Amino acid sequence: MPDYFVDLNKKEKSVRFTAPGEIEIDGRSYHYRIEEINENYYLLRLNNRVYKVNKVLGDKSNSLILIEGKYFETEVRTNLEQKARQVLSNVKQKSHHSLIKSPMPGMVLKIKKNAGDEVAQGESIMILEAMKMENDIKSPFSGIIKDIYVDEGSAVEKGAKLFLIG
Amino acid sequence: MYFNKILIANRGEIAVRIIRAARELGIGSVAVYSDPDKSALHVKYADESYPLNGISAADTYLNIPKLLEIAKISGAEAVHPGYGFLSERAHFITAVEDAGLVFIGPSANSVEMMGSKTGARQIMKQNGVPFVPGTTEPVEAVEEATAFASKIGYPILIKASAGGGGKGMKKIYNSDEMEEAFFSAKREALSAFGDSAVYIEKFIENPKHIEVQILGDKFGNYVHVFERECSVQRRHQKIIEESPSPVMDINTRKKITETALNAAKACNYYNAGTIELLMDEKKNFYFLEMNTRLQVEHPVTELISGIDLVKEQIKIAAGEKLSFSQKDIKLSGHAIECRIYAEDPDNNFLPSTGRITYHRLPTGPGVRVDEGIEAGSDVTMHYDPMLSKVIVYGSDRHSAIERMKIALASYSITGVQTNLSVLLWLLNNDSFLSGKYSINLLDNEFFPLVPGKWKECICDEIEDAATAFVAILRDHSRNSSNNLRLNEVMTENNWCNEE
Repeated sequence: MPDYFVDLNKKEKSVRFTAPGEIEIDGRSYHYRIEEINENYYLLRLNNRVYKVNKVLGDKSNSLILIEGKYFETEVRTNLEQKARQVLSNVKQKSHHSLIKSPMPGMVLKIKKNAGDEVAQGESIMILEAMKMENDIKSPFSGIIKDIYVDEGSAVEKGAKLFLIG
Repeated sequence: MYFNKILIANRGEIAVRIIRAARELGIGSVAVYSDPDKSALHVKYADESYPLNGISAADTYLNIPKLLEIAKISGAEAVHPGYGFLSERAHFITAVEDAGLVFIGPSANSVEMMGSKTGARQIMKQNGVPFVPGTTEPVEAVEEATAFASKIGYPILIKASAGGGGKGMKKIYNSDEMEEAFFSAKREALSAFGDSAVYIEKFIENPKHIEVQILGDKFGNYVHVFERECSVQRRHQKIIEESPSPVMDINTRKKITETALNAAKACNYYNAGTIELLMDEKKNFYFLEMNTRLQVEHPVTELISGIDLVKEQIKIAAGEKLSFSQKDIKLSGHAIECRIYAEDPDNNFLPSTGRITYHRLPTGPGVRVDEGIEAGSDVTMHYDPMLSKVIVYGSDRHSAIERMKIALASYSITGVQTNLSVLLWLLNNDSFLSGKYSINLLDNEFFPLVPGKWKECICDEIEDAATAFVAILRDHSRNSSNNLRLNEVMTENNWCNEE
């Protein structure tokens, strides 16, 4: 029974702590040591190799880390959280609603769709201006636009609700 | 002493770069800053700093009366515009000179002739320099654009007359896309450059972007400092630049450098300038535009020639003659620059904003970093998201690439996401390694693997390290409220790789 499940760029790995300073990842065993240089920068030793690890963003369960120039979006779940997630994902599949949030702060230049329109995955739905560039916002899912939360010309913060797609 | 003090009408890494050059020459530096930049690196780095009081570029770094007032208050004798912002505005040069100051750059007249891209094309036409088919005048109406495009044939590019850096530029494959792209280009051009004029150009398949650095003094002496290749681009924004170009041969180099010098002479150019060319697969080249300013990628030229271009700019502005002639300039080794942008590659390269929480620069033989940020700097949505540039030198291209890989892998930056992984992907890409890449490299090879797939070649070892790291941290925070477990392992101090 794994102690933790880790999603690494959406790829799932299972982790067990087998003894103090011993870790098993998908069945591969390592000795490890870790040193915190500061809250964003760590040294991690796995067997005989030392990695410099940067914690770029995030909290204890979701974080973006940088190792040797490679970024990893990570999510860590305990056993219990893994079970809860399975239950939740079943519920979510039934409801079929997906929220599109603003990936960055900016100004809504143009909304290309109306409520009720059908959109395909990857289709451009709005233009967000930031840092002097017009950025195409594409729908990550296919579906019908149920609701639009912003108007053209309005400023949005990162994470602001833009569209509800169902 | 060339000048007592100079004002730098810019921000970010280029402001820091210019301050460094001034300091080496014993010249005082005056920085300016907008409200969001009040604690930026260039502000702390300069000898004096003055607020521009405002947020938008128009209120701050583009505000000529304010800049000139600060120049007067501070006693600066000359103004360096950097790149972007006011660097290619002839009326700014005139205003600087009317205020009794020296502009560190070309004359207003040269900028007027070359800075307007349609004007530059007319001069090139008169001087027999080859150029890409397109309109030589700005296109006003969408109908006119559609008619011209069908005459020269799709695909075409719409470009901002006053612009650069990919802003206000759109590629169009057929007439259906024209209307939306035409007005979008005009809007971008207006907001980025204060001028909505656009023109049309035929799109050449798989070209390389080659450019020639030139220097001219106020006495009519000119030199070129070889070519740079800047074909690794995303949305016409350069990402990786190198010098020399890996495919350049002596004959072609002779031709393009002659063309570049002719172009510079045709507009009585002085100071540093760059002639940008497109080169097709048969090494035919076409004049693209002249950048009448310092380029972002100037460091690669500095590394292969040993010439400090920014110091030369200051000396030329002060009325010095060039201290070297063409035969004194030697190309040695190979240099590569990678631009570090705050952006999220899997999210349509949208800028990543936030506060830099940690910043540790790569070091080592042949590694240079021109940085505009430090720990504590804020990356805001108001300005360009370029954070820094990593530039490496090697005795040949292969060793430069290997150095760059190591430099990027040891660059630590937290608080925002960057394009470091994309740069490393590119440095391992076969087309890039062969040197035979074109400006379509990212469109053809990278974007088909977005989102996510381009990361799949990462080896198990690093994935396991990433997995172990987050699991260990989570396990620790769950099992104890202090750093006991971390401290425990820290008491052993043999961090060497051998056991």
